[in-house]
Amino acid sequence: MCIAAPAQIIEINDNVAVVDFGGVRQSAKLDLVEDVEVGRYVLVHSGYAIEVLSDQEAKESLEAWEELLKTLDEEEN
Amino acid sequence: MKNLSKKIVERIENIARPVKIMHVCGSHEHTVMQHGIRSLIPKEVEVVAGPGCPVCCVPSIEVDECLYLARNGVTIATFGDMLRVPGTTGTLADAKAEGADVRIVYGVNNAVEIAKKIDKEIVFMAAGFETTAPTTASEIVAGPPENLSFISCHRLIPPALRFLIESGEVNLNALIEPGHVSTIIGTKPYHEFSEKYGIPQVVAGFNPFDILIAIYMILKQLDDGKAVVQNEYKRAVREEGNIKAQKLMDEVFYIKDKEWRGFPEIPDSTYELRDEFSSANARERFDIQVEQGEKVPTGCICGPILRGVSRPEECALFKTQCNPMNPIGACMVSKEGTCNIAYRYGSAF
Repeated sequence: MCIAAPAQIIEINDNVAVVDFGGVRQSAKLDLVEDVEVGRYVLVHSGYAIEVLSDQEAKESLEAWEELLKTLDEEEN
Repeated sequence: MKNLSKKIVERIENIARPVKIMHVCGSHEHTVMQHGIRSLIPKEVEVVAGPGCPVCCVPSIEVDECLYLARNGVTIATFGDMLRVPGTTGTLADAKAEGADVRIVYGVNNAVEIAKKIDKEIVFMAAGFETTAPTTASEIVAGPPENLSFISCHRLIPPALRFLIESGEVNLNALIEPGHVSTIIGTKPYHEFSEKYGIPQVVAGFNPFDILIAIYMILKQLDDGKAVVQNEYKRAVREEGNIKAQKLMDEVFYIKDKEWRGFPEIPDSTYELRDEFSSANARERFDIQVEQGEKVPTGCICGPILRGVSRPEECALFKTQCNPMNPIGACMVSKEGTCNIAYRYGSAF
């Protein structure tokens, strides 16, 4: 039930945003987050943005995991 | 992608040791089962599912409270999964079939919208862990419509972890912490488990790589003789969590001892509305008459499954009488329930 997905803010009207989940658009309330603006990525849970993500963080990337693994390996040495 | 999994699994194999790693998140169990993670890693590295589904953890008495209201003319709004969770006198789906007004909503904001449109009392059954509790809090602070009140079934993860560790029933050695609960509460509430009990912990995301890396990070901590809290899910979890959401929860709720399905009373483990908001508390607004005591369906082992002691395959009802179309126990109801997931993805055991 704690499912949440990253989405990009397309427009903001008061405390409600229209967010884009890679093609699917829904509204998300902004009462739980600060410093949001159009274009930013948020993590959306049950109709509410629960965290603001940096653009880079929002994109799950293989490089990010590779990087993490590299860091862990370096700790080892 | 294959290469990355291979790289992580090789590292896991190099430092594998007998260990019991518990996660407490339905979405983690989903990833583990869907991607066959248990079959990818050495057998001695055991990944155990704990009480990770807030729907499954709602005890029958709280379902009974909502059934009582529904059967006495009050509209109930709640998340879809709650409809089939058994109380002692049926489910909310049964009440709906009998003619009660039970509405499925995606979020608490939908309950607010419904309340504005109807001319009768409506109660939002607020289930969920710390991920969901701030959404309820935000609507209560905003001043909900007068005909809307709330039954808080919100439950807190760290007290359940403390209970599981102290009970010693599962004998867990390490924890994978839930990503989106941690988005709200941050990583600090977990520190006591590493410091006091020497338990390595990793906050993890929901991709199979997240889980595999978290397992590797835990094994590496054990290999290095460390027990700390590490954050693998930095893209969504800050150390301090979401402070605005935490403040809203503090403003609206106080913390109360309460039973969970499959558990006795867990100290400091649930949220109840503060006195300032008693007018929005359905337990204050209505004289709800329910009988105490949990009624477990004969043969159902949801309790031990929620505590991480048993697996669905050990239940005589699993796949014989209990299935997602006809769930007997709460863990078969939700797509986040351990039994439901085991039914859909088979078992790696």
